[in-house]
Amino acid sequence: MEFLKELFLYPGLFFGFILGGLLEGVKRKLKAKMQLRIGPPITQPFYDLNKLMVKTITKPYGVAPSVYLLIPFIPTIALIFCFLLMPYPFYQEKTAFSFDLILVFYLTEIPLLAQIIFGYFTKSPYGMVGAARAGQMFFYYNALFIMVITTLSLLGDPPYSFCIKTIAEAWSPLDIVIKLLTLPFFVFAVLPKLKLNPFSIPDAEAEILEGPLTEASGLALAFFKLNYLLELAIFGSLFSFFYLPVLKISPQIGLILLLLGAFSLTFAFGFVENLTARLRLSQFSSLYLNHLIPLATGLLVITWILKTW
Amino acid sequence: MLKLAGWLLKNLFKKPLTIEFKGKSLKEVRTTYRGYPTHRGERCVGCRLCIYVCPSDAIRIEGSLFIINKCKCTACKDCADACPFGAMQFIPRLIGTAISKNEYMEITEIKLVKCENCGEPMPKPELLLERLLGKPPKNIPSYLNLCPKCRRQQI
Repeated sequence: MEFLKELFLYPGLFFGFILGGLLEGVKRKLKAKMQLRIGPPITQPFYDLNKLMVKTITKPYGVAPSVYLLIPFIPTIALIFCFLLMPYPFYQEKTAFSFDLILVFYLTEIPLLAQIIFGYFTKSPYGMVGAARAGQMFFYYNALFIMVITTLSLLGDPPYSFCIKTIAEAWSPLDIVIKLLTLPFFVFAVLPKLKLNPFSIPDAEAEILEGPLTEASGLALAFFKLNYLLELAIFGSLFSFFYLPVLKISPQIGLILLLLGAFSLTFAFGFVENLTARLRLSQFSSLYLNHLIPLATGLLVITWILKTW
Repeated sequence: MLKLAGWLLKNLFKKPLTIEFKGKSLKEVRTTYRGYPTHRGERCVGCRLCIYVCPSDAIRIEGSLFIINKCKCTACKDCADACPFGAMQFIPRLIGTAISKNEYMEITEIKLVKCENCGEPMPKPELLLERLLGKPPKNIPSYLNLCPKCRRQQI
């Protein structure tokens, strides 16, 4: 019973859905404000999702309906479990889970893999182009993300681990400096993961409609949108755990700080989205391969030397 | 890029240039707006003239049901012009987004009267008289309550 409560209420589906929806709503509102528009209400993502849930499904010929719905549904389950692997206040004291960052990393990749499969499965030319682009980008930003989480795993005292709780509780002066240095790399790893500008290359609206999700409609599209909201909540929470002392203070203030951290990351995303135009795939790969990945690797080596010396 | 960043941050504290839609729902339309057709079942005789003239194949009759597909309708008003009994009416109402395709289908029942003798469905006699005389009839002769077949038999 307790497990079901955690899975579906806090910190599971309900919390993630509400937090993700509000983050997306605030992002859209902020983007509109920056462009001197009024923008949609903050609760708009919930209305959108509600409408998609009851809309008629228009699927391509020759695609089995069960598989059409199963592909977006599997990542939803993975992401709900992902919330149980993070040390949220009021939850981390009583759970038996180990808050494994590697597992969180794997689970947050499932939505993208599902989108790639969906893009090819629906046989849409736009979907295939979008899926191919997403597949190419996958290797670049994940290499950067792995560098970031490996650097963060060296924080705190030995033995070093990929436990999110250990990273969140590491606040020695050296740890703070390393955390600050990894911050831009974290943002650059998360932006393409969420397909936000300037890295919205797979969803290039003007050229290839909606990328891998071109043929998604009704309930299937609702699941994809829900996955996106859950991902937003997960990365907002991860940002707070890594870069704010959420677990060093009382749980009540910790939870408020976590939410503030998530919303400030969303503000940064909205600002970057407004500020930049979409890059080409070649520019993206050159940026990651020539600059970001070597720099992040350098930071990892320096951290390792400092920590083991 | 720094200049743009400055503008964007300043915009956060400025008033928006766009204005909020006051009516909340689109009730008011321009006087020149024609709108979409609505079928009045009580004035229909099922003559199928509207189906014949419709260029976009938006109207069909299934049994006693009259179906208008507003997804196909181009609001050309040919059906209303062709209908001899004024059963097709254009109402200047907007049609917006819908959750299901069925919401764009207008289904009404054609209300025919029954022959007093054999019970066969037939057009309302007052509609025919109105068409013939150009005004609503004061009283209807009893033989008009029979279908053409029964009328011929009685003669």
